Amino acid sequence: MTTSASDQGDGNLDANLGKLKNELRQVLTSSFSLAEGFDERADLYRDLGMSSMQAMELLMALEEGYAVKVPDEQFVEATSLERLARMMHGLMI
Amino acid sequence: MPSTDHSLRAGFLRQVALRPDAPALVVENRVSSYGRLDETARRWAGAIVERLDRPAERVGVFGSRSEISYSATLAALCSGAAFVPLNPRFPPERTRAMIRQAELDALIVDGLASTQLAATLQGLDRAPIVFLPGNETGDLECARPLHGELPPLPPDRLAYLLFTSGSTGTPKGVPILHSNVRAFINWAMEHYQFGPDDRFSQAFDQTFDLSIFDLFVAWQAGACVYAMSPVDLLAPSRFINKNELTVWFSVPSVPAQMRKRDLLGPHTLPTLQWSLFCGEPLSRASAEAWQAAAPNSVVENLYGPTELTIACTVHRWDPRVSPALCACANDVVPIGRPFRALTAVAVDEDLEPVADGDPGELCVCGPQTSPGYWNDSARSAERFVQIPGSGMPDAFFYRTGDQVRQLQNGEYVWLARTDRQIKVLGFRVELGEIEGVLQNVTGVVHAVALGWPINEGTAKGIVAFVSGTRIDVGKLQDACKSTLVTYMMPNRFIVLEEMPLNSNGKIDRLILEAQLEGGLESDSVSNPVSNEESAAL
Repeated sequence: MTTSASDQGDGNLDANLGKLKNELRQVLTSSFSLAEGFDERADLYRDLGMSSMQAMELLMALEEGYAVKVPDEQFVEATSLERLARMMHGLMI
Repeated sequence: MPSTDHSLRAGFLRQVALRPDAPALVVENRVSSYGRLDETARRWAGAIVERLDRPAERVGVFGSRSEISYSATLAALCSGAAFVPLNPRFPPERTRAMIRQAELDALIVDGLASTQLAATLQGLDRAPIVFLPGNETGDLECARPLHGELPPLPPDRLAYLLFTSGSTGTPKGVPILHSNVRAFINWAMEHYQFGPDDRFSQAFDQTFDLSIFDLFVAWQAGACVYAMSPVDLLAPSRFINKNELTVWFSVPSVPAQMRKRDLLGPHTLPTLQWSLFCGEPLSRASAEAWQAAAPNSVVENLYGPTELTIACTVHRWDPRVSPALCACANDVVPIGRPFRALTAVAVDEDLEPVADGDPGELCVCGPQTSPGYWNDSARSAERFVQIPGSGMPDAFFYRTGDQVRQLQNGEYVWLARTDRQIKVLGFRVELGEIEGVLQNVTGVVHAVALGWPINEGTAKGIVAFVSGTRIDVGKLQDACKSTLVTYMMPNRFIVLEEMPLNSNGKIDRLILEAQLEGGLESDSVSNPVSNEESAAL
């Protein structure tokens, strides 16, 4: 997924998404042992090696941390930091 | 291929000849045909043979559910070698110990594993030849494929070597021969009658022997295997329905988790014809919910340690009969009857068969029994034993360490472990291995690891109690992190001034368990310095 054209001109949305992405990166590096500065488009599981146990923990951490219900179907599609941030952003609107 | 090949690769090679264009494998929507997999495997096998000045004995497959790791498994077999699965999600130190023990000739590494490679090989005095198919155009791509007849694989040759948690602090190797795994595959083909239209899940890590069922039983039948990403296990229905899978195989933790998250509704898995569970106790509730979700499917509970090659007993769920049988054993599904070619007996501590219906340790012999642990005759002598009272005094039985009871209908139910092995999400964990790691940390006098909480017969996490002087919890965590797999990591460390002792002066684990039961806030743990870490390490 790339930054879509429709986001342009909406500075707030970009800023919120950027902030969310930073927060999520922080969670992934501190609690899930991912290397700092990992590629936001890399697959968290196939490329960066997160396990299914960690996937479950991440899902629960997101639901608790942001007080939203994360549908499993969406979560399993959100396999990169970039996608994860977009999904969370969509759920919190 | 001559029909004399009865090795693990034989079924695959037969399908290559019969249906080269049929799909054999799907990874991330990329389809590989039998012909293409065969071509890759023979080319890589050619590279292995070219680079070695001796026949290849053992080839490491360092990867996780990738095209590379599957092709490498076949390449090892085509080269005449055994494959040794290694997991990029394990700490490098642990994998290095396995490479050292296995004395690998070659190592094939996928993309994920390549990020671990340098750390893993560090300090190895006898490093294997390394192949990196992902970013290498030299050796592998230019190698001459092994055409025609391949180096022979007689039945008594090693097919694969797997490492499981060892109670004394290091992983132990379980060698499985071609005759062992061939016996299992023959059983599976006769029992399930799979065909080329079947579509198999591949949910297990390749370091878990149940993955060998997914791959080699599917390929024996000419069917297609669908590799799952770890995250797909969170929403299996989506994966099953998208790919119209007909065969599902996972640990029972998967349906348990789905029930918890309300994802296992009636008729939600209509494509499944076979639903198989193995690796830990299957609860009645999970079996019932899965059967309702997959009404067109047979549901079976399999049981078997790695030493007995994938599985050795089976219970077929029958909604009319099975619930009453579950009532005999803590509401878990019976493990069922031993496969026809195998012999099972329940024995007491002196290896005497117990009276019918009494609890005893399950021991199994037959063509699926491993010849014994890798380079460890002492441990082999303890676990692979002759049982004079069994009626087969010359046969070597594997002592499973599982306490079972035989029901009147001949099926077995699982009761408990006789030792300190637990299952965490279906993975075998020796608590002694964790304690061994903790005891090496400065200041630690005693360490006790316990599975906690236990739910439906499987541990959800591990708690470690340690006592000693000036214990640094950070150091405990670091020590665990560098040698233990994620699912073996204690998610809680509790530092005690003194360990509670029983009247024999031994550490009283029951008191520790009772303290966990009672909740730590209100208990009598003296000066607990508890450090609550998230399980995500």
